[in-house]
Amino acid sequence: MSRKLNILVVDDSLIMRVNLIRSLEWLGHKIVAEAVNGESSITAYKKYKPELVTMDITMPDMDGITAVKKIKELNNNANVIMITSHGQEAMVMNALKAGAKGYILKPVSPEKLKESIGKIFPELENVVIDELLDEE
Amino acid sequence: MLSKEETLIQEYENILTSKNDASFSSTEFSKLLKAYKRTYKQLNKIIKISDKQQDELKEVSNHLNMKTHKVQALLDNADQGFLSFGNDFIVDDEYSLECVRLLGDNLEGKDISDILYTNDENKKHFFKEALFNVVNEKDQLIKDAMVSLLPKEVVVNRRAIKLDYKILNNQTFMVVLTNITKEKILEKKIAKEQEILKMIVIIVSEPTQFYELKDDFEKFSANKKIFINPNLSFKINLNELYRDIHTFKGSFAQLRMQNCVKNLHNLETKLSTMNTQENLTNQDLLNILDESDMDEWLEKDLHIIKHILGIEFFDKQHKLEVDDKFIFNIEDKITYLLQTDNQHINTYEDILNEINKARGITLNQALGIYPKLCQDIAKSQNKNLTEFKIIGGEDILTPIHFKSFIKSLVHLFRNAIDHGIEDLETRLILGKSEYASITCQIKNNKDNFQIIISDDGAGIDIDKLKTKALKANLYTESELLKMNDKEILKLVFIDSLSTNDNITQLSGRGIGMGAVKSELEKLSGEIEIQSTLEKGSKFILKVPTLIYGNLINIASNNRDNITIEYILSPVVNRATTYLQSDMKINIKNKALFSYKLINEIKIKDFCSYIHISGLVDVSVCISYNKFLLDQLLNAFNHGHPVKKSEMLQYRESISKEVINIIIGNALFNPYDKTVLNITTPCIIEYDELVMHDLHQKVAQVIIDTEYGEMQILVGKF
Repeated sequence: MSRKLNILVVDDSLIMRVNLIRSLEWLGHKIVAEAVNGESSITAYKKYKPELVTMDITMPDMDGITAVKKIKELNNNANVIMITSHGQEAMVMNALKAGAKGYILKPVSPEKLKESIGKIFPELENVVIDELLDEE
Repeated sequence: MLSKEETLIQEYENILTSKNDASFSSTEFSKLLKAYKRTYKQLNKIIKISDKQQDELKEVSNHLNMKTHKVQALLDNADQGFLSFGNDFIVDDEYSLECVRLLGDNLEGKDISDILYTNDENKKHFFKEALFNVVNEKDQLIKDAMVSLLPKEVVVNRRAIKLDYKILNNQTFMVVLTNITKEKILEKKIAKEQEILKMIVIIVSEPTQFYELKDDFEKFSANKKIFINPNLSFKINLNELYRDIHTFKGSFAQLRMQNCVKNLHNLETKLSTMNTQENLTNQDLLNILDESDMDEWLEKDLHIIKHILGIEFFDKQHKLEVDDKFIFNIEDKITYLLQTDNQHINTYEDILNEINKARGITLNQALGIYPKLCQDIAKSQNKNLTEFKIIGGEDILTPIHFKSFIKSLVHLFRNAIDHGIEDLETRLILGKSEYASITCQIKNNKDNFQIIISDDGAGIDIDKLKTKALKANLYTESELLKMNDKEILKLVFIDSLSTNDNITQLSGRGIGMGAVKSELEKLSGEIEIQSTLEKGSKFILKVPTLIYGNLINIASNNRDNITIEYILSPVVNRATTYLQSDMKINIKNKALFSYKLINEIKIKDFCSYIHISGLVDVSVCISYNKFLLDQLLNAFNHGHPVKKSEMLQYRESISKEVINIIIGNALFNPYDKTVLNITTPCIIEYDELVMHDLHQKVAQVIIDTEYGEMQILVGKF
């Protein structure tokens, strides 16, 4: 593993958070914090300054798009990946406009996460999933 | 070219040689002349080079021209169209021929969004905004992500076009257009074929339902105006009519009669808009009914059915014999479709299951050959037998592997006539009716079904049986003494033992009864004999349905159950795929299409439900055994342990997520224009939830996995 990323996972569904966390950990990354809505994701971002945020697009209280905007205000270089479903193209576009670096369509898998992360952090590309499998 | 200059040089050279004048500085002059000559030569050279270069340039330019033409020709002949436009969305002058073919003439100067989305302002807006965002985005990564959100397919001039986007520079976009109309048409054709196949298969397996509906609808169509009661208000009539139309739509949808469904759906929509309008009268309802040619709607579907099943299908009123040829035809079609289209394997499996259903006959039908056979046997022995029918078993489909068991029953019937029923004289002496009676009843219990065959004959003589067993050295006297009557009666199944002294042509050698027993044992069944001397015998054959549970389909005649086809079947399909492929959980009962209609529901350990409205108005409830749910949780959680205190929370969350995944994927059908509204999942928390006396039966499917059961319920509860 070349480098661990410090990641913040934001999702209102417990099981989705768990799934994301496990998948990301399996890819070798470190989850520094998790948040259940946009509001708390800002607090967590300020505190932990993660290198990457995975952000559910629809959440109660503060939605994912607003959260991206606020995070970008804190750090213009922040890396955010949106977690989305079919039929949310317009929302995804707004999130991208707000500065999200990519999006993943559900269901989420380690492969999809790896591909998305690889685009933002090309230096991580050389980690092949098969190698991870061999390690297990 | 330089002749003037050349003459000048010559002139001055002459002067130089002729004038040997000392006053004239000849040396200076000759130097000048030499230099001039050199310059001249060089100039000459330069001119030559330049000429040559010009030729070369011409050649290059010709070459270039040729190349441009070639490229243009290539582009023009490619199956794809290429065009570009600036960030003002105005199409550039240069575009390839295919663009003209796909989008029409004179594209230059037009707005690309107007070309692609003639009337859809929303889509135009999204397209422009998206491209605007792409242009203004500096981060290449985000730019790419934005481009991936752009529409990938459009329909222009009734052609389906695939779009690929390239950003040439930040000012120019290139779009590559591919005509995918043929592929789309093929897809649609396949989908239509599938629908027709399903319709045929369902009609063949549920002919009664089909005929009833056809008759009802024909009657409705003929008398439709009577349904508008002039003495009642418009609103009441409208509501009545709406309900009737909705019911018909549901019934036709269940039989997959698409033309009727489509037209009834349109009519229903019209009626529902009338509900919001003011100042309408009963006359408006009559007018709308006048416009609706219901006979034609039905005829369109019937035409397809006639085309495939033949006109004879309609002659055999309410009765249908399935011709093997027809089934082979469908199987051929499916094989063909499977080769051309492997995206819908689940759908084909569905159809195949339906075919099995169509091919399968009920247990009642399977045993239906025996009453006549019994009559024939009785006649040949000069015995009179009351006409009888097989009672029950209409709701049990005969599994294919029951064939030899059912065949073996011939011995039971023969035995009853040969050995059970006495000859006429004896019967009269005993004061019995001259007409003997044999009955055959099928009982469908929860865990087994029973075939009960009884006669009012002589009964089995237990003492005689004992003697025979002794004679045949099968048992010793002391062994026989220990046996009770029930056990002794079972000796009739021992081949070579026969209580009748007269061995008839048909039976009596004891061969056969053993076959019944061994066939039954193959099905894990058991047999019980009750017999009273001079009164008759009763053979009770019990076959467990637990092992063959999946093969036994509970046939239903519930007309309101559109939900079965539209909701239950895709949900069960999707759930199976999800468990097997995504979650790697093995499923024990593979033939899942069988469902039960129940009016008491018991919900398993964990449960979530979703309400679906639109075409249907039902709830889907998925509940799990704790063990299975925890296995799913384990998969989501990559095998990490969960704290006991958090377990409940986790289980609820996974239960919601799974129902979302299953329902969301199952009911998303691009061909189905009918919109279904799906709520977000709710959790039901309870200890032992049981609901009974439900007004409407609920369809239930149980998926039995290696980790426990998943129960899917669809209905109103």
